[in-house]
Amino acid sequence: MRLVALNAPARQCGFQPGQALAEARAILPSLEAIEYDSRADAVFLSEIAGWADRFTPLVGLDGDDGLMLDITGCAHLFGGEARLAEDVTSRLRQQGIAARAAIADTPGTAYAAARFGGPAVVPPGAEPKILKALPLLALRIPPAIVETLERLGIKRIGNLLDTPRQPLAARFGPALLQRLDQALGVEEEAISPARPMPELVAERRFAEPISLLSDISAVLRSLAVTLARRLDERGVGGRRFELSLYRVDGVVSRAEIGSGRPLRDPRLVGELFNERFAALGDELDAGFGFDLVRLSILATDDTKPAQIDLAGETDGEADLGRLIDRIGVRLGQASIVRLEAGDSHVPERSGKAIPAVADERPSPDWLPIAADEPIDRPLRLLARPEPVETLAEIPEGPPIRFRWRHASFKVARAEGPERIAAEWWREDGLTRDYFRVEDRFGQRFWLFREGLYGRDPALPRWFLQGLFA
Amino acid sequence: MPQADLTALRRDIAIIEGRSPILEGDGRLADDGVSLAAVDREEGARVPFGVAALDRKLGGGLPLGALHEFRCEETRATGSLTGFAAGILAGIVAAKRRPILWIEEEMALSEAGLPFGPGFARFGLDPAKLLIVRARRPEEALWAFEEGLRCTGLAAVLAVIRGAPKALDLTASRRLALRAGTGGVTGLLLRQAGTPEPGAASTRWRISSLPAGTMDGFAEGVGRPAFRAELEKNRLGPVGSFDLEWHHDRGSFATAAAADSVARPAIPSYRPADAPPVREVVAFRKAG
Repeated sequence: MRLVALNAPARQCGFQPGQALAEARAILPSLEAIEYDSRADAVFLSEIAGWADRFTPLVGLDGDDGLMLDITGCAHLFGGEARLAEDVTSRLRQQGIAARAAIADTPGTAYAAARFGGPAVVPPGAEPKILKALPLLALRIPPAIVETLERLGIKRIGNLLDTPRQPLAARFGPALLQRLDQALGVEEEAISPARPMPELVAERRFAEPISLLSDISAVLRSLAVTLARRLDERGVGGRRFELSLYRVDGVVSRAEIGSGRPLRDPRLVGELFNERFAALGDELDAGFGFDLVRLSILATDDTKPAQIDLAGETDGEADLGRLIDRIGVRLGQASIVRLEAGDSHVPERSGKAIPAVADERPSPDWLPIAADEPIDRPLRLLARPEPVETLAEIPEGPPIRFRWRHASFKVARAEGPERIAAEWWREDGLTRDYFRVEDRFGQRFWLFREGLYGRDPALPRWFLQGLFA
Repeated sequence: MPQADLTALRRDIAIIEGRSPILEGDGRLADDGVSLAAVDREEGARVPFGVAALDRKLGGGLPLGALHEFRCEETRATGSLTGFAAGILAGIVAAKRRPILWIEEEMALSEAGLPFGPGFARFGLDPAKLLIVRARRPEEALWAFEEGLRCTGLAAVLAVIRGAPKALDLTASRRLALRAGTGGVTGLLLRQAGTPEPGAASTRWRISSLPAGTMDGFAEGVGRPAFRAELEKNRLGPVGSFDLEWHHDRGSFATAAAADSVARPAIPSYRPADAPPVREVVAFRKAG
């Protein structure tokens, strides 16, 4: 077992990451070690990333122990860059997290300054001066290259800057110079945000944390009014809204709502969130209160001008849209669906459910049957075909008795078989012979025999799949 | 005198006499309909079953903008229960041309499966008109049911609930009935394995299956779906038992004609003591 990470006192004792635990214990028997759990660390880091978006919506993960925040245009909200850096570290310290922060014009320099002892704020243009004194590892280059360079006597980034570029590129490939250029700002580098970037954001900070649901609703309403104005300017409406509640102690609660139609009306946004809160129940823990409430719009869509005909049909449709939204928010968007015809003959795949919240309407290509044909598909299909025990007169024929869910049914009439073969590209599919079966009391079921006699290795098995009217 | 004039005249006379103007198949007026005063109290549009004897008892058909309850005693009869309701909904959709909110509670769903699009298409109820909601608990199902009754964009709301959950007590039933009455949306409450309980529904039905009716060219096979619909409660008064079959080609019910060609099943032994007696029902009065 080896050491992975060390706290400050352990580092002062001279231990190194990568050192064997047994060796370290031999030097210092009182050394406390906790088993490394990379997954828990990753979860924790992404939680901190979620918290950090109170400073800027653009938060990216940086390795497995760092965060990269793009604070372009955000610093003035916190009283300048130095104040912002101080704010980040002091808030983390209050939560018991040791952290270093550095602000620079390029992600590469910020990385180097934060991790290798640079200043908290690197002034614009000062990158070469700051980087010069830092070790090569600060450039985010593979350790193997660092080792080779060190053997050549290039120990600091300053040495690298003094070395001609041509031989470096020839010897180490383009990656080394790319990292150097990125740190210097010669080459652009984008931060990929851990969470999707919202299209519009409105937020409010509180000196005195709020915790009452009614207060949150009121704040939400006023944020929605602000956003409605901006949506109006753009001529769009929001399809997905997210409310983020930042608790004083660093926990962030988020609630998301989706809407079938582009939404702008603050009252409707408020109503949908109220449904969401009702569904959440006690899960929303205010603790010591929230000091930042943010309403983000994750997705927008063009609003179609409403057309009101004389019969007032549009009212009904809008009302229906609101109902679908409310049910989707309260019970989950997957719990309200429309039925769409699937393109398969196998019953399980011949009908699909698509979320009703999605705007697209199912294509109306359901096939009605001829007037003189009996109804040959059941009204209800069981979640999966249930095995039944059967007794048949002749092997190929319909059963004369069957047992389903511990009850015995005597077949009075049967119609079939209707042979449905699985698509040829499916290897697991067996041919099915379907029978419409009626028992003595007139209850009608859809049974099938899976597999053919003599051809499939196992004996054919019988299943009940649906209930007829 | 042409038939149309005669029919109009008969209707006028019926109204003067204070009877409901229900016409029999041959255009003659039925004379044992409910009184017009009762129909007036229960104002509003109705969807006829297309079976004179039944429509007469309901004052012209199933009232829209009201709560109706349908129950089946055993889970395996859910197919018939669903079919009977689907037949009614086909009539409502034809009249109102709006979608239907179809709510399934998880318990009911795991017992009897999900609505199957191709089945509904063949039955004669357009699956594109259905909005299906899956509720985890009866409380959620009833919440969605009530919300649906308030929505002006819907033709009807249907919920399938298993047994008799606590959430569905008399108070809840009253609230739903009131909601249906004010909103104009028709509510169908389907109770799988449900017992007759006091409720505020305008009508309550017990649905069981009957051997399928014959179709031309399908004398031996399983033909038209048939039901026994026992009207257990009717705010207008008359109750009764009706053997009906569904004609998917016409989109309406008719009196089950299967009685002669198919042997009647023995009366099941599990019938509750208070179930109405089984008897022959004749749709049209004898002439003279």
